[in-house]
Formats: sequence, structure tokens, C-alpha cells
Amino acid sequence: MAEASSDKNMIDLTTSDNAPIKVERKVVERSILIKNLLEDLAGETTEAIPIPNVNEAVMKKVLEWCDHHKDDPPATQDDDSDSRKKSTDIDEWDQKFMQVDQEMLFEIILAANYLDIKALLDVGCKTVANMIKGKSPDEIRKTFNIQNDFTPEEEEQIRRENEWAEDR
Amino acid sequence: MASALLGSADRRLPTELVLLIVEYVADDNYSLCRLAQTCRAMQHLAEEHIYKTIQLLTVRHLDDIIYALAQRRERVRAVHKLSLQYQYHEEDLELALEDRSAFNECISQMVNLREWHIESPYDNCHWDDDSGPDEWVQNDMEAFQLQLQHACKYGQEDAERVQALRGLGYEADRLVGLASLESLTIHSHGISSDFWDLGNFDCLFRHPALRHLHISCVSLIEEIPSLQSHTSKTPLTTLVFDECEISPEALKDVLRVPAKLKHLTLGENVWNTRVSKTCKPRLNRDVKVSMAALGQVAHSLETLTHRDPSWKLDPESHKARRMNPPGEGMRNYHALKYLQCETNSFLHQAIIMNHEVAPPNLETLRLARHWDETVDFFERPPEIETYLALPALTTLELMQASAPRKETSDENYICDAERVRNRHAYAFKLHKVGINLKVLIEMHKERLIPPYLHGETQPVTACLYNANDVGFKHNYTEAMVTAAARDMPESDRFSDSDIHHHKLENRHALTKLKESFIRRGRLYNAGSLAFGDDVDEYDPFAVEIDHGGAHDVDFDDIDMDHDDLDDDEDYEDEDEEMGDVDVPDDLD
Repeated sequence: MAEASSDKNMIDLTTSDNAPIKVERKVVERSILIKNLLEDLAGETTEAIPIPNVNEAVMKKVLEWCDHHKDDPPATQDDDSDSRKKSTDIDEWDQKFMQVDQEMLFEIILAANYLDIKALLDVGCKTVANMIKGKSPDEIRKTFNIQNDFTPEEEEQIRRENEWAEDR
Repeated sequence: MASALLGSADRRLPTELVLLIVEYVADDNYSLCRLAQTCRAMQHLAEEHIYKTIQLLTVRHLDDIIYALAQRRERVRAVHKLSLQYQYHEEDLELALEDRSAFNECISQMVNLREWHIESPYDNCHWDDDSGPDEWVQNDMEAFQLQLQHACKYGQEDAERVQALRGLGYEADRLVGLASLESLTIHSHGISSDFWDLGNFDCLFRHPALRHLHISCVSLIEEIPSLQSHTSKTPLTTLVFDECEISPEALKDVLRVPAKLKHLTLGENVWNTRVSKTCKPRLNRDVKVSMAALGQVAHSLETLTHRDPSWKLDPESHKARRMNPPGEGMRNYHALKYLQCETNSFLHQAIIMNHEVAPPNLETLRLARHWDETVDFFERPPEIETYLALPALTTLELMQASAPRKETSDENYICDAERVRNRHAYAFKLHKVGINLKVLIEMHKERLIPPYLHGETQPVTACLYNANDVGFKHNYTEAMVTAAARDMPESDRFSDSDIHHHKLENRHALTKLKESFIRRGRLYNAGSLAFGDDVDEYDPFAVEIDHGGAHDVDFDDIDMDHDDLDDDEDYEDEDEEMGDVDVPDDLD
């Protein structure tokens, strides 16, 4: 009896690199994609759920986040964010969690987007936003591999045009 | 659009995610500007945010902005929120007349503008300066009016065109400027006058998308025939008049137009008592027409506020008077939950005093009283029988206006033993029929009157007595166990120690309130109020001001012209440092 119920609460996943992962249902349900999938299946399958877009390393990292946040209250519907500018404050644990190389950071963001984990996606985007803030155009381009398609004159022109708004 | 704006060595983020990230940079314009310089695609995304909100406190940089807008038309389309709050600086304003006109021309192209806030730089008694204020009315306000008229005329058509094209899967943009406007605020004046005539601004009430309209110092005295063919058409839900001259006849035409108005504030000319305008309560004058005007929104109205000056003509304004209600009164106002007025308002005299025609679902009644009225709410609340009879009432609020130096903001006055006992006994009677009494103070910065312009301290309301919190189980001495007291019957008994405790609470609340006022006052009016450093900590008005007549407002001090631009920037900075001084609208 005990074994059966614990099995029911464990979910099998297979990552893009064919690694099997066993994870607590409550944890993996932070992903709306997987949550909806499980609800649709209604416990009728015993097969592992394939996650074709996420590899093992990234999935483990994402699940680490999900585990830490498994008891968070569900996100509130505050879609009127338009009126208020978004704050880039990140809580301490998340900040530490996001201290990874840029490759991994982008992988996490892409995975969060694919798996539909809004809170993780937000933390990832905030982290990138904070990496942009305070940098010069050149530094931003270097950090994010952006191809400069402006002539120096054009770039200077844009700087001057937008100057009135800088300190607002 | 390039799909690989942000990347690491191997990974690129799709545009939808880059958009999300840029949104998080949007609280930092400096970084947005840097981002815009990195590449063309990023320039588009960043400038959508840079140009989303434009607040203009001075005309000095107008030419830069006009130039920037002219370089890329997308910037004009990006503007969602615009505040024109040019601060008064006579010379600047005159020199910038051409720039102002050119910028007004840009406004007419703002097809995505949602929120627009306009304050005349000549408000606060500069409206009779030389030619400046007339130019504002004839040049700027005229331009706004023409633009709004255009939006009224073609906005609906344009919206339908866009919708049809999008329905067919085409990309389509709005073409008519100001046609997407949802919220509009206008604080202005007339030519050499503190009131402006509606004239062709009747288009304000006909706008096809506007939901929120707040206007002040308008003269609405005559009928408005041009609105008479526009019955129940606009999506307007909130309408606020501040310090306006509103006749019942004009109101009748205005309220024809909205299909479902929910919130209405009828602020008659109460505070601005200068110039030729003598105190003229207009809506009280013809209750039948006033009620007929309101009747047009009876089906949708949820909150209603009336600021009525008629107490000024009535030395015994605290004595409740009754009028015969016309017809059904407000019996069919099923959605109305909140009503605020003075006890002299026709709404109180004709409706509240006649409970059989009161709104059937009215939950909260807030009565307001000015400090110049003979009897304040702390001294004596109004006759209780009126409110006991209201069928659905759950909260009665008595809101006394006051200011930091006034007796009515002093806890010794407010919490005088006899006054508190009377208040408590009054509350007990209400409590027995299921009505909670709240006694509120509305703290004003003296000599600042509505409308409250950029940087001016708004009145703050705080609750000083809330029957639900105070409770009615004060029968027993403190030594008694609270558990036992819980089962004891309720009464209106209030012991000396209860009063003492209550007074301490009030002192705390009032001190906090006054403190926040003084800090704000210092920030905002450091230039215009000449109080010295040795001013009492809780009293910003140490400079003695003699109120000649009861209702005189000393206009020299409302004058904001000392706030030249440098000061302006200074106190903005200070304001940021003191982020904790934000006072909630209601400390309750």
C-alpha cells in the first residue's frame, strides 16, 4: 500500500539526451506543461514522459528550482503589469541559483519557457535584464553576441536623439 | 525582425523572450537608451519603452523631443501615456510657444495614446498674467480640442476598419490620433478667468473610447444641445468634476451620453471662492432636474460623490434639513453602493432623509463636513434616526475636514471625554441595527485647493474611530478576564481608561498623519512657504496666516512660481530618497 501510493506520486521523465529522471509529482507540476499533460493522462500511463527540448543537465537544474519552490502559492493573475514598471528584485535563493554560466542561464530560460514555468522564466529574464543594466552599448553587444549594424555616426545619432529621456 | 537578438555562444533567445527581458529593463531609461544603440532590431524594442511614457514638467527640452519624434515615426506611435505639466516659468513658456505648437502637432499623431494628463502652467492664479494664459487657451487648448474633435469624428470608423482588417488576418494600425484614448485629465482655465467654458469641448463627452474623464474648473451652465443626439453611446465609466460650475440642465445633457457610467463625482465650486464667482450651489437649486439628470445613469451608477457649497449660505448647516423627494427618488438605483455628500446636499436632504426613496442597496454613506461649518462631526454627529432607517446600510462614515493647525485635528479636542462617550453611544445605536460607524479625519494642507496639481499635497483621510475595532464590551474593569468578557452583553459603556486608551491611539494616528504632511510640505513647498528651520516639528504653518473671511483663500501662497526648474529637480531627487513618505489615500 505504501509503495503503491509513493509510486503514484513519482513521475518518470526522459530528457532529450535519453536520461531517465524520477521526480516527485508535486515538484514537476510546477511545470504547467507537464501538469496539464498528467491531468490529461489521468494516471493511465506508466511510461516515462519524454521532454525532447531539454537535456539532463538543464532538467536537473530546473527541477532543483521546482523542488525549492514546490510549496509556493500559485501565481496571482496580475496581468495588468503594464501600468507599473516591473521590478528586477530577485530573492536571495534564486539569485544564488542563477549564478551559472551564460550558456546554462539561457538554457534555463528556454526550458522554463518550453515547460511553462512562469516564475522561473521571470527570474531568468530578470537576471538577464540585470546583466544589461549599467553596461555600455559595446559591453552589451559583447555579452550577448549582438551584431552591430550601425555605423558609428548612426549610433551617435541615436544616442543624441534619445538623450532627453536618459534620466527619466 | 531578427530572431536572434540576445545570445550566448551557442544559444539565441527567441524574440518573444527578448521582449520579456526588455520589459524588465524598462524601469531604467538610461540602460534602455544604451540598449537602443546596440543594433537596429534592439533599437525598435528599446524605443517602444523609452517613448511609452512622456512626462513633461518643463518646455525646455521640447525641441529635442520634437526632433527625436520626427526622426522615427514609430516613436510617436509608441507613446501610451503623456503628461503635460509644464511648470510655471513665464519667460520659458513664452519663448517656447512655437515648440509647444509643434509638439501639440505631434500629439495629434499619437494613435496609441491611452492616458493623457493636461495641466495648464498658468493654473494657480497665473491665468490673469499678460498674454501667456490667453495663448495657452487659444493656442494649446484649442489644438487639443480640435484633435479630440477629430478623434470623436473618425475614431469609431478607424477602430472598425482596424478590427475588420485584423479579422481577415492583415496587419493593421490605427490611423486616427487620440482615438485610443482611455483616460483624460484636464486642469485648465479660461481667457483671463479661472473657469473655462465648455464650448466645443463637448467632444470630451462624446469620445468613442474614453473610460475615465477628470476635468476641473469648467463652466457647465447652459444646456449642451450637441450632446442631445448622443444618448447612451460612450464607454465612459468614471466621470470626475472638480470645482466646476454644473447646472442641473447641463448635467442632464452630459449624463445622456455614457452607456454605463459607474463612478460619478460632482464637485461643485466649493473651494475657489475668489473673483466674480459668488457661492452658487447649482444642483441643489433644482432638485427635480438634478434627479432627472442622475436618473439617466441610475441603472449603472455604483458610487456617487457630491461636493456641495450650499453650507456656506447656511449658518446652521449642521441642522439636517429635509426636502420632498421628486418622484421615485433613488429607489431604482440598484447598483449604487457608495454615496458621499455634505448634509446640505440635495442627495442628503431629498434622498437620505427620506428613507423610502433611498437607494435600496446603499452600503456605505460617507458624510463630509468642512472645517468652516459651525458644528463639526467630533462635536456633534448628525441626527441618528435618518441613518437607522436606511435598509442596506452597513457603514456610516463621518468625515471631518481639517488641517494640521486646526483645533479639529487636535486629539484633546477630538477625544474630549464627553465627545467620545457621545460618539460611542451613537455608534452603539447604529451597531444594534447592523451599521458600523467610522469617524474620519480628512487632513488638508491648508490653502491648497482642488484640483491638486503636480507636486501638490492631496488631502489624506485617516480613521479615528471605528466601532468594529473599538467594540462594545467595555462593561468590565481591566482586571476581568477577557475570556469571560467575551460572553458578556454589549453596551455603550466607555470607561475613563477606555477613553484614555482611545485618545492615545488617536494621538498616534494624528501625529503620524501630520508628520507625513510636513515632510511632504517641506519637499514640495520649500520654495513657496517661508517657514524657518526652527519651526515646531509638528506645525508647518508657524507663519501666522490670518484668514480674513471664513472662506478666503490666500492665493499668494498657492503660487508655485518659486519652483523654478532647478528647485524642481532638487525636490524630485529628495522625494526619491524619502521613498517612505508615500501616504496611502486612506490610512484606515
